[in-house]
Amino acid sequence: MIVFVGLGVIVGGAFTALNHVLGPKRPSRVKSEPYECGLPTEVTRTFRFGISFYMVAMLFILFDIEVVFLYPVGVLLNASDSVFVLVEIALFVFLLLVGFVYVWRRGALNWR
Amino acid sequence: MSISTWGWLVLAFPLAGSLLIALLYRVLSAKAAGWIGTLAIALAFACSVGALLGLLDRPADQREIASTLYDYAGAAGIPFDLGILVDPLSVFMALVVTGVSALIHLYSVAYMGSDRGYRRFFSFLNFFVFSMLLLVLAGNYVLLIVGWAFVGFASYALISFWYRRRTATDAGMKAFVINVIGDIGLVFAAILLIKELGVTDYGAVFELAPEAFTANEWTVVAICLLLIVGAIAKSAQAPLHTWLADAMEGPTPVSALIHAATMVTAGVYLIARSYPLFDLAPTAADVAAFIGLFTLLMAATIALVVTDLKRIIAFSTMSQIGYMIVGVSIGAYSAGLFHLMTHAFFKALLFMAAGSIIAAMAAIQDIDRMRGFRRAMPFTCGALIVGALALAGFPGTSGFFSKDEILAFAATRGGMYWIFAVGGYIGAILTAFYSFRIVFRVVYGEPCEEAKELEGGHLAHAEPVNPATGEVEDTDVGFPGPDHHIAEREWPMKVAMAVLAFGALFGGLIQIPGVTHVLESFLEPVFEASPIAATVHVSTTDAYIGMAVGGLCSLLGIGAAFYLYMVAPGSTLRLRDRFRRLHDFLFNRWYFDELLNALAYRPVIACGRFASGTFERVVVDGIVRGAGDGVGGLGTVVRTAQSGFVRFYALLVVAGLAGLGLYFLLAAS
Amino acid sequence: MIETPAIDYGALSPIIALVAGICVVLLVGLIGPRGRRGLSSALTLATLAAAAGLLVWQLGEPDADLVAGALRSDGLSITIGLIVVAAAALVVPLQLRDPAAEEAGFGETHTLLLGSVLGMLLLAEAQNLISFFVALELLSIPLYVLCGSHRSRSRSLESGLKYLIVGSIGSATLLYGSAFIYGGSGGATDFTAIAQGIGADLADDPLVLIGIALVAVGLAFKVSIAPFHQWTPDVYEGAPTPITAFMAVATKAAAFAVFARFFITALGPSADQWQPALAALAAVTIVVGNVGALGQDSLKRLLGYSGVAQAGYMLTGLLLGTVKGIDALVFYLAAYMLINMAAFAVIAVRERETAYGDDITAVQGIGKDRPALAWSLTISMLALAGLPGTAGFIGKLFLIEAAVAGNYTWLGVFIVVGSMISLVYYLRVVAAIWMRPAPRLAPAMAGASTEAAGEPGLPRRTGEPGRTPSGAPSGGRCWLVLGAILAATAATVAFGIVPSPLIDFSAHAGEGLASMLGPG
Repeated sequence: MIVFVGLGVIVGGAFTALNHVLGPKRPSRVKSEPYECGLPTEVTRTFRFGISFYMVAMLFILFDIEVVFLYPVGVLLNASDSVFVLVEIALFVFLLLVGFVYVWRRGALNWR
Repeated sequence: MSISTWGWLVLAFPLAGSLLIALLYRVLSAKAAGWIGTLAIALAFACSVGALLGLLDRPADQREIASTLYDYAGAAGIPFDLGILVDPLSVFMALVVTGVSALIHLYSVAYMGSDRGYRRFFSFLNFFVFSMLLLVLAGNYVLLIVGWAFVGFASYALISFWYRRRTATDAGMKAFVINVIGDIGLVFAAILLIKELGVTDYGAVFELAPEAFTANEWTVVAICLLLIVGAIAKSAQAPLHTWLADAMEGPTPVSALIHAATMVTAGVYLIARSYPLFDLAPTAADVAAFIGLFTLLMAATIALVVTDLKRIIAFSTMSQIGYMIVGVSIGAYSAGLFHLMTHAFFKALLFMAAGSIIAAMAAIQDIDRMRGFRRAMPFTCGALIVGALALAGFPGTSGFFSKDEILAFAATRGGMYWIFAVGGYIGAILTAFYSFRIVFRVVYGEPCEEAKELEGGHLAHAEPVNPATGEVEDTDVGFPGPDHHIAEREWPMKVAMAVLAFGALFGGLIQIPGVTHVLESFLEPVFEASPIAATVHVSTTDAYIGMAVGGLCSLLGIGAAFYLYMVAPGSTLRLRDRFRRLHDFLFNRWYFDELLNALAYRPVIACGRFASGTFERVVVDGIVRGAGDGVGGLGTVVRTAQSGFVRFYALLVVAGLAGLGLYFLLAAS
Repeated sequence: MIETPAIDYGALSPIIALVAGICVVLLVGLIGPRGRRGLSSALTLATLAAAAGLLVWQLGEPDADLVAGALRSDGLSITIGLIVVAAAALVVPLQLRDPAAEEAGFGETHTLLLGSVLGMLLLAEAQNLISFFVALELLSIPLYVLCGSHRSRSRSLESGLKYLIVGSIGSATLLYGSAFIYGGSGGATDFTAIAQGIGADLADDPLVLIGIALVAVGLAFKVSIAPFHQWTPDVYEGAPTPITAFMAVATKAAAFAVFARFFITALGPSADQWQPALAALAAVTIVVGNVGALGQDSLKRLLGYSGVAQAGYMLTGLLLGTVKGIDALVFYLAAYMLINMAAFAVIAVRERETAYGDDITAVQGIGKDRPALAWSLTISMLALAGLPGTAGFIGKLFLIEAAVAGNYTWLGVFIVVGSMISLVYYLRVVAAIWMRPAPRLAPAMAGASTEAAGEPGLPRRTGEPGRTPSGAPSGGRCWLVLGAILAATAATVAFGIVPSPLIDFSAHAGEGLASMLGPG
């Protein structure tokens, strides 16, 4: 076991080191920039972005995914023929609703 | 009332007094607090007497009453209930503790009169007495440790009582730290007892121990050595004795009560109480005896040269406790406890007299400054002389009988134990010398300025300064206050000192060899199982030979002091110059403080510094620098959080993970 | 076809009550002006009371498997649940005047608090790897937010972010470890099934061993066991004090519950393999925590390190794998909850009253002006150090005794030595309370904000009073807070003098464990 781990460390280390030694190094500005979803990495003072957009987008993704869950559940529900599952789903939707009401009343959806 | 009820009441009164004063401190007038405290202790004393009478009513073999208030933690499977043991030994200790405490409380009512912290003082003092009684009456080792810890805490609080004094808080800390070392020893002893025997009740332990352990088996020796660690830390024996001299920073009644009469004798009580264990581990008992002998001689030599009045008496206390430790370790149990009692009388008396003189000197403690108080303070000087006579073992006084009983026992036991007799007699000469060094320098001679002023009816008054550093005191926290109180003018002080002086003079008459044996026969049921006590009997002839030697030693010491200080004054200075090296060695207390510093304190501090250097610097510096850099925006926060120390965390985390992983891998292969 | 799973609604009722409460508190927070302080706090307390009542009701019931064996309600989960709920209930009054809660809104703060409590209850009941992980996240995520909820204080944000990063590492480690164990046990997620799957002898099963190590590390993060503790003082210091109090106590309780359940139910048969490793961790933790606390001037950092040391003591009780050990652990947790809540509450009060934040200067000389606070803090400190007559003493005694009985005497020795070292820093606080004069410059009573203490550039470590900015929410005395403090202190002393009720309480936990282990 120890041998195995040791081997792993040596081989792994060797490859990393080799990469470092043999690999071509042609750094350029673009290459050294951190990559972040296509956004400009340096935010200049004058750059403006709408915080509301992010908020709404985030909430959309959140609720969208939850709603997507409902499709398979709907299919299963059809097959299962069980009150328990129905109540379960209702509960799930209710909790989602509470969250939605909160988001809405707190004004997270108001475009500013 | 049953005996156990008396026992519980002994505990209840001081606790009630302490709580009452603490809770009502805004309502009570200062004097009322003092009297409540005194009354509480006096009632405790009365209850101790009740318990004593109850015990005397019973036949000798039924004088051991265990009482449980309730099962403390039995549900958790811990062999520990809230129980007391009332037997001759604990009643004897309770009587000494409550009796002396009541007198010292009485003394304090007047002596601390102008202290701003009056109520706090009495609340602490009552709490101390409660803790001490808990220690003494406890029916098992765990409760003993509880009392032990409380006593240490009370001692710390009272040493640091004048908390604006830097020296006082430092001394309190030192006492506390050294006492905690002792506590660790005791706790480990209890852990070993639980592990080996599964019980902590005295009765059960002493019953099971002879079956579970063979003589001098390493476990029982280890238990006893750990008990000794606890005992020597509390009783200020070498090498854990350094705190006691510093503890004199506390108010004088505290020195009298805690650091002379009661708390410091707890180690003696512990060894006497655990004698069945020490019987099984004679090696450990011998170790304790040698520690006692060494301390006895060392402290006595230091007391020859120290010039601070209270510290002379403090070193004398160490030395006298050395006698007791020797006594209870070599099997002279009742003799050791007898000396404990007489010592409580005369040492408390000495401290009270010293307190009165210090008050007359306006808080100066240096005996080089004191001289000729005999006309100014006749009562105080009388008390001082009585105390010194008893301490010196002058024939007929209490100290004479008790000290000689220990040494005669040592001589009778013979063999190696002769060393203790010889050492003890040498110590007796030194004791007589230093106790009369105080008397001849303070009482006799040309009166000093303060004494003259007092003869004119005016009590010296001075800007209060710290005797150790010369700093001006902050009287707001009541360094003895603006006024001083001397015994000549305060009846409570006078009464307390008179009673103790009576005890110091005549307390020895209860144990005159061949004539009376009150204490010995009272304590006999406790120690009758001891094989040493059963085999070694001091014959009356031997006892009288011992007393003759002891009396001679005492007279020799007093005579030497008389010659050096009265007949040929100034000769001590020449002696000092002649033996400068020796004087420095003694004056610096055998360099024990320095030794402990180098061996224990510095390494610990160095470790701490190293630890805080590695654990803390990176982190704290990181925060301070990071926070200082920016104006506090989120950007800074993120930077700070992501750079530097999170990386440092990650490093340690990976190291920990790797360590754990490696362990499991090693376990696997 | 979906089968209806077996659900014991009675045993599940505390959880249901909490979920309902969360919804209500969240929505009530929307009504009216920001920060419906009274209503929202009252509803939160009502929810907690309901949960506590249902838990007490369940205490007498037989152990039950909930929701198809994903959760298990037994003595351990119920006792821990009660400790957590009590801690939350003591935090709620503390939040009343808290600037952080004021700023973030009471509805939100309390919702998050209740959410975290829900996570803790579930964690204490978790009986398979999935519910274990989900509950852990449910516990953690609200806490990340709460730590950073004092948004105008950069230190709070820093604390939240740091907790998030470190907590995520912990969770990830845990998840990774669970995966190993899942694989190693032949695809079992249920704890008892894992126990059967991996068997007793793991010597030739490195996969599972690595898994155990990773899970242990993940949990060590949560309960701040060295060397995975470094986040503790920083996060404790930065977070709003009521949240720190809650985190210090409740997280530890819940995480220790699942720690015990997982290691003893799932890995119990292979105890010989992991016991020494955990023992080493416990010893290191005791040393590191106690040494680290020595030089601290910030009370919250001090209690943070002290919490690390206490985690070491508690781990001792856990790793013994005996009924007595678990009893001692739960007893210690309960005592620790009372003591710590009182201590943190006093700090929070002083934070609002003075300009010194949580620096030790803030409590200097309060013996004279605020005896109730002073006594509470003094007793708490002494109890943490294990002074006899307090619940802390009997807690330590219990642990030591359990260690001795479980053949880990040397760990008992570590506990003793650690407690003795700890006296140094606890007594420093006590000395500051009683023996130091109140700081010269009279602290501005109202308006001296905690913000000042947290703002960068303020020389708070040197003990210099900060400037006193205006506009911060006022402090002032709050009787509810004082009542909570005094109640916790009184309980500390009462259980120190008569510990048997608390011992009986903690004995339920051991029973739960014993039944999980079965007769074997």
